[in-house]
Amino acid sequence: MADATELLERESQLSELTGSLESARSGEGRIALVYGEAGIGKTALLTQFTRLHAREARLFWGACDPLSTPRPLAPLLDIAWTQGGQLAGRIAAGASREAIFQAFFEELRLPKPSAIVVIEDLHWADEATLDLVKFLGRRAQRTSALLVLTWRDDGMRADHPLRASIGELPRQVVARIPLRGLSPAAVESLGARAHRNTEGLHAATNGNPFFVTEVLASDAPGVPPTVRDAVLARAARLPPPARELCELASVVPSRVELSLLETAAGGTFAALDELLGSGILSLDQGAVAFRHELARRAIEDTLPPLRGRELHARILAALHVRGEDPAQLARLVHHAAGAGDAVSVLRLAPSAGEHASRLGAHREAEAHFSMALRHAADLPPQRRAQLLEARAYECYLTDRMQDGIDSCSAARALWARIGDRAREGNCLCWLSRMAWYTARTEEAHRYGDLAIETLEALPPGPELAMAWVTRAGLYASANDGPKAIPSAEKALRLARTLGNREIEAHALNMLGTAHIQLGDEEGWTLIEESLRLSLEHGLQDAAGRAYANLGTLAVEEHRHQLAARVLDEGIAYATERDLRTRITCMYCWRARLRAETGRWTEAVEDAAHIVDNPGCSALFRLAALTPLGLLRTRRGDPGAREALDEALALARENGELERMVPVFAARAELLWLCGDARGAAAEASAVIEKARKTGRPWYVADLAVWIWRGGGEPPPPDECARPVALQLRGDWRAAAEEFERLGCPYQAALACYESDDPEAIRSALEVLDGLEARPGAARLRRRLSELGVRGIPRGPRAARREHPFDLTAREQEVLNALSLGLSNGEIAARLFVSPKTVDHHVSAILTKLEVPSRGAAVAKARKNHLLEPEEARAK
Amino acid sequence: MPRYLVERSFPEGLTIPIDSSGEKLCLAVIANNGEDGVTWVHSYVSDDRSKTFCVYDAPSPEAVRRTAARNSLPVDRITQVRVLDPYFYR
Repeated sequence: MADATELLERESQLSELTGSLESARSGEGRIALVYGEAGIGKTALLTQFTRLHAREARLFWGACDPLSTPRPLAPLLDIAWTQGGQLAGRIAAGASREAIFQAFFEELRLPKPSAIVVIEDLHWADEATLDLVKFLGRRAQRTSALLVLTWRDDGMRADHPLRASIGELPRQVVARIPLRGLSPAAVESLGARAHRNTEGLHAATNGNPFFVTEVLASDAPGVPPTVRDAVLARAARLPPPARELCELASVVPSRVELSLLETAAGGTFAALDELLGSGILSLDQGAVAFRHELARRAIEDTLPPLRGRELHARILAALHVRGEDPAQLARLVHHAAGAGDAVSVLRLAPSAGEHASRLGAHREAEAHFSMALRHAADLPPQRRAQLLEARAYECYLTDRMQDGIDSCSAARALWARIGDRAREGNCLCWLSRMAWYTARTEEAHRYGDLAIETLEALPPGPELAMAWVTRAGLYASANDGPKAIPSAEKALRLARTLGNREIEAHALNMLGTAHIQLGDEEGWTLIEESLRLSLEHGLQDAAGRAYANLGTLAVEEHRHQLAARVLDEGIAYATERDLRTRITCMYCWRARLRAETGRWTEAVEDAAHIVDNPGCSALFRLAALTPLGLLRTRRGDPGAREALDEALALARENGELERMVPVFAARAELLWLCGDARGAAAEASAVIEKARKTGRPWYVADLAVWIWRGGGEPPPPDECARPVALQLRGDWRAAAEEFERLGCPYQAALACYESDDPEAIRSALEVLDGLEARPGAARLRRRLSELGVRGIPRGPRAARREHPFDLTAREQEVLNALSLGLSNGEIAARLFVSPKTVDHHVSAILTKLEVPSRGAAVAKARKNHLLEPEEARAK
Repeated sequence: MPRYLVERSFPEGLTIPIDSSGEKLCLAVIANNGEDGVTWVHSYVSDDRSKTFCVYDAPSPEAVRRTAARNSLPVDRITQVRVLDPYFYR
């Protein structure tokens, strides 16, 4: 199987070779031409091919060498050396070229078994070898041999003698098998097997299998030494002017316009044709680019430092000639930094950062501000503090809280030294917010208090308004509405006096959140208002925060339709603007929403986005681990306890009920499903009093149900949300209906556990089997046998068999979308899943329909009437 | 990487043809697994072919389920396991 993993996307080439060999075997010799760029996998393909046919064919294998003066007939010498016999004898005896060719040809003409002759790397062939190719080529048809010729076609000149030799081969016996790079999907799949992140790998390697596998096999970051050596060996063969031009081009990432290269290169530009002829670079639409980004980096990385600076300075000067267009700012910064030109970096990088931030490229903005800071040692402290604040803000938006905290602390210290109390207070606000995301709640409160103390001593300004927003946010997160509301109101009044729309939007959001927590319907209107205001004025952070809070509260309050709409919209909004912090937050809550509403497969994907990302904030890890642990619990999968243990440790540190209640409820459910009812009651009881103090019916309900099921003393039903209140009063049927109405199939089914009605339990069992909720289903089965019911269905029925090609309902939906010609991105948006999920579905569809492409899938679906309504298909 | 035992039921009996179509099926399964970093180590099949016990190396139980769905294979139960053999104490 190891071979199958290394040879991806070469099935059609293998079968073409096999087809040629079969013709040869029947007495009609064939020639296969296998070509592509260096590292494309020519040898790997032929190794696999010859191994597959080793038993039924004689193998002759020879290669040309990259010697500055090639050995005459090197491939044939290889063959003779390994074969011995008559051929070797003639060569040793110094026979004429014709006699040697004839001897080899006789060898090939022996009818059985047929022969495979591989001659590799013909781009390095000497003239005699090319003659051999012509000699064999003309006679191939009369043998039972397959002649396989390989060469590199990257940068092969139009007048290369090989071209003429190939052109003379008899066309009817030739099969051309060009090799191309791997697809992005294949690169991703190789990465998954190696457990490595493949982001950007396809782009850097153009799918070249040699580069891809070397990068995946290398532990160190950067260009693997094997790749570097291969690239440098090729560059070393260039004449000096071409080599110099190559080095100059290497300091420009991705592609360099010819006009720019010409200005920067001066005289050496004349070596362009020679450089292109080497195949290291290629020309495309008025710009040259390295054929592989990795090759560019290999050259750039090995430039001596001073030489690198000089080349960057030349590019920078050439760019300056064209003027400072904002779209070119990032390039200017790159080359200014490369040239070690601190003055230019400091002039350009901050504007580049602001430009990127406005465009919603926050990671790039952060990189520009960091770049400026690296050159900022001689700046006045005030300017440095401003840069630190700008960087901290971008870190905050992109969920890099610890980096943000570091920058912000440094800025705060500078402002304190300068004596600017307002800016210092502002930094304290940000420190408070970012500390909260790292689950350091107490620290967040300390910074928040300090901010207010600092700013209240000054005349009221936007900093103070923001400090009140921060405090309101902290109280709201702690579900302390009565304390949150006055702070939010103060912030709102001051923001309106100052005419500051952004702070007004934040304040409305906090005020709304607190009102909803207190059960006041007006709160929803307030957050909607905050969202409207933010969108109207293009306030990215405020809008993202409004989406996130609205979505979170809607999930908590079981307003599932609202939650689904807001979270989908919010994720799309934040994704477009690269607001990582918000995207992550909303993925966590959508995972929880989907866990509640029976969309478990999608829930797991949302949660896995976050859990698999070690860099995300502690708070998000906690918020994703909780639904993940809950789903493992409900499906009876391993790792449930581990996920919930880790979540518990984080929740204790955070200490807020919004996160504590779901963790404790999930842990109680796990214990109950394992048969430990008392343990479940004890687990839920641990936080029930705190939950009751918030007065939030769903917090109380989520815990109360387990206390009640575990035989503990539950709180009064009146304090619980409606379905649980009904359960506690013994009305399981009404409870189940209520859960059903809310769109919670799992909880509706589980409510029937307390029923004495075998029919109700039976249909509940069907729901749980459908969800693959094994432990819950097992509890219901036991309940049925306690009631003396016989003939209990033993397990999930094989429902999937009904589709003629075994497509799942979801796959059928994707197939329908494919028939409309939608892209994966469009399908993802339509079905509310990630493009990666769509990709999975598409590959499942291709496998099940046994077709190679999307187009073929749609054609086959049409032919088999799969795109018609289901009723029609049943007929 | 954790190892999992995956139990599957085939009420109508499992059929894997012993020819090229069976090989194709197995290769497709392996390719699907690869996308999630899941490795199928081997399986035990009950004599009546109604149950399989499949040993997998996978990053998480979710990855096992994802690949099962892609391969249209049922999942009854996933258990995380370790190797214990008679020479364990030597």
